[in-house]
Amino acid sequence: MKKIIIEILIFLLAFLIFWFLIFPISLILKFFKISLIDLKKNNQKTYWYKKKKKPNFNN
Amino acid sequence: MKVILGISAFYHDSAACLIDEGKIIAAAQEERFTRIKHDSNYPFNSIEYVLNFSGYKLNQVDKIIFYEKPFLKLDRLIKTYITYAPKGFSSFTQFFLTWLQGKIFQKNKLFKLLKKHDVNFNDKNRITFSEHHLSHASSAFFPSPFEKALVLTADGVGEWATTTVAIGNGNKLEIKKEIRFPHSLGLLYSAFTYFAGFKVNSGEYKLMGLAPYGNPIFYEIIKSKLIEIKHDGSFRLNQEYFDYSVGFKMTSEKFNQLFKKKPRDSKKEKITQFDMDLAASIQKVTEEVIIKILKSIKEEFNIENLCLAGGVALNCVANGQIIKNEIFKNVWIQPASGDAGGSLGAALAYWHLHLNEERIVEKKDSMKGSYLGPKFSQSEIEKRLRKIGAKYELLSDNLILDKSVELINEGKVIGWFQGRMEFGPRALGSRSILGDPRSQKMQKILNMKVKFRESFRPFAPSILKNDLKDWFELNSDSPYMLLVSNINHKIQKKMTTDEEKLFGIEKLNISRSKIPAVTHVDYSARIQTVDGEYNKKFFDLLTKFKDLTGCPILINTSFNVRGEPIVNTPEDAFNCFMGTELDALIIGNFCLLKRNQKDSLKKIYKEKFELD
Repeated sequence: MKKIIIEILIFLLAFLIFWFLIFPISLILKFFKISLIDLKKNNQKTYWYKKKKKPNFNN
Repeated sequence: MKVILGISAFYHDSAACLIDEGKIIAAAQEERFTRIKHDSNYPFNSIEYVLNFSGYKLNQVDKIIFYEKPFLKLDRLIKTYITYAPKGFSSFTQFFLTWLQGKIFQKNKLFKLLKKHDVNFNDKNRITFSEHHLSHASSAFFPSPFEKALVLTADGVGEWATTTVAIGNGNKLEIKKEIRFPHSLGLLYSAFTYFAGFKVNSGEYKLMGLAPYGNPIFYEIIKSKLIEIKHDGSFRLNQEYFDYSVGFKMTSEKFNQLFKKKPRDSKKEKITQFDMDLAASIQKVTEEVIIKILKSIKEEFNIENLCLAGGVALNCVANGQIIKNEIFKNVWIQPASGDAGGSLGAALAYWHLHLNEERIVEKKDSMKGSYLGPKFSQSEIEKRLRKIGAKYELLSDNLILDKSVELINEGKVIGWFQGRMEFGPRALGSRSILGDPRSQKMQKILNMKVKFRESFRPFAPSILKNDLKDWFELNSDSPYMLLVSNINHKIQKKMTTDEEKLFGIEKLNISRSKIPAVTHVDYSARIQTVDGEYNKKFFDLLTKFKDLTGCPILINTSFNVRGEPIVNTPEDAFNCFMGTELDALIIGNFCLLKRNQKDSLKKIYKEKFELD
């Protein structure tokens, strides 16, 4: 029973985060034509990204 | 600081590896212990094994490295959901639960789990994290026999990177450039694996095996609609055709419309020529991308040696093309190229890159033949066999080889269990099923009666290294069975025009060479060269078989059935032996014949493992 209640609460939390945080941010970014992942279809010469950061072992 | 434990877990193929003063001591995949194929759970048993084997308690381990960075992965997932919202709500709720249950607090989770190995382990700061593709690149370069090399890694996705190019030099390794999610060669191949009705993250090698039966008639469609490839091999996938970013499927409705059908339902639909053509087409595109990348980076960096890792490096057909194209003078591929090998790479990355410790380059490589798993002494095997109730005969070192060769020459199929278990997906003569490659019916027997798997799937040959050129058109060593090459034309038997017209799988019944059981329909074979340095007994067996028959080759397939992880213990080997139509089991110096075993010990094995 306890497990079911926790799962329902997590679902509600996920629902709230998705529709009241992720979705509004998505709408705003779409309005300004900003994409957080690389979906652009530009005529770039290459699709490689230069890696600048040195490796670290932090989380 | 000297002892480092590497861990890969929570996606697929969990594993653990322990290095001591930079030397690889032990490594194993969790699936071998739990008997759950591609087990993704915390690798408790693997960690226990590497600790016991090396004689350390967890509290004596100086650093524990996890193979990827959970927060960077979370960053990628959140940004992806933001990009696609409102699409993706269903998968978000599922992903949210998983992340809340552990991944956000992964360090705490790992700490609690690690404490189960040793209550005296109290220092959470000993746990640290490497990047997914840095782990892959390290697993490819640091154990390699090269002082300097270019390193290419390619898989589905890690944190953000899906493909990387790095330069390794001495004890340094620097990732120079990368291609980022959602553009992924691994995910493209997996999308076709899914569409052809095979399981993602495990069925990719089946698609590769299916490719030679088909014609690449969809090659142009794939290139014009699904992937844009630049002259330097960098690429971009048209996301309209895929669903993997925030969905539960790999391909979208538009993908179905493009190929005018839905993904094959493996329970209801048989494999058709369409699936074969699809496999051939995506294989051709994959090879083209890899070759273009390699030609371009060779020109850019002018380094003669190449190291490969990541799931895509398990595509042995593409690897064979890399060798054939002679772009690089030397090529070395990590035998545990999938995520399991990430545990090894993470540990080595910390040792060399963070601690700046010296790297000793070994002439062959530092993988010890990839025989890094558990082993069992003669007395331990006997104790276990007796407990099971097995009937066995103990033979001398020489007689056990004679007996094995005699059985194989009689057309029998034997289970071969010797020494330390292999690390990585390939059986290399420690946990293998062996047969006679000269037999025309052996492929069918092995597929249907022993392995219980699809009839189209080919078997691989193990060959004495010195005899390689007489039998295959390969000029390179292939100790880890990661290269595909053609059978030497001198021993090929050409098909007649009528035979050429046969439907894909029917071609299998045509004898195409002197070693039909390991000759694929396109005259190719996935080769393991054996030189005896790390597996003397297997080398001696091949030598004896050659002495008796003139053939220096044996069929070598993994000791398991379809859907089962490769056997680990003598009990696993005995269960597989009694659950299949294997004729004999050679385990250490013990010979077990099926006809001598009690009927009551026979297992119903076929339904025991979920088909992959």
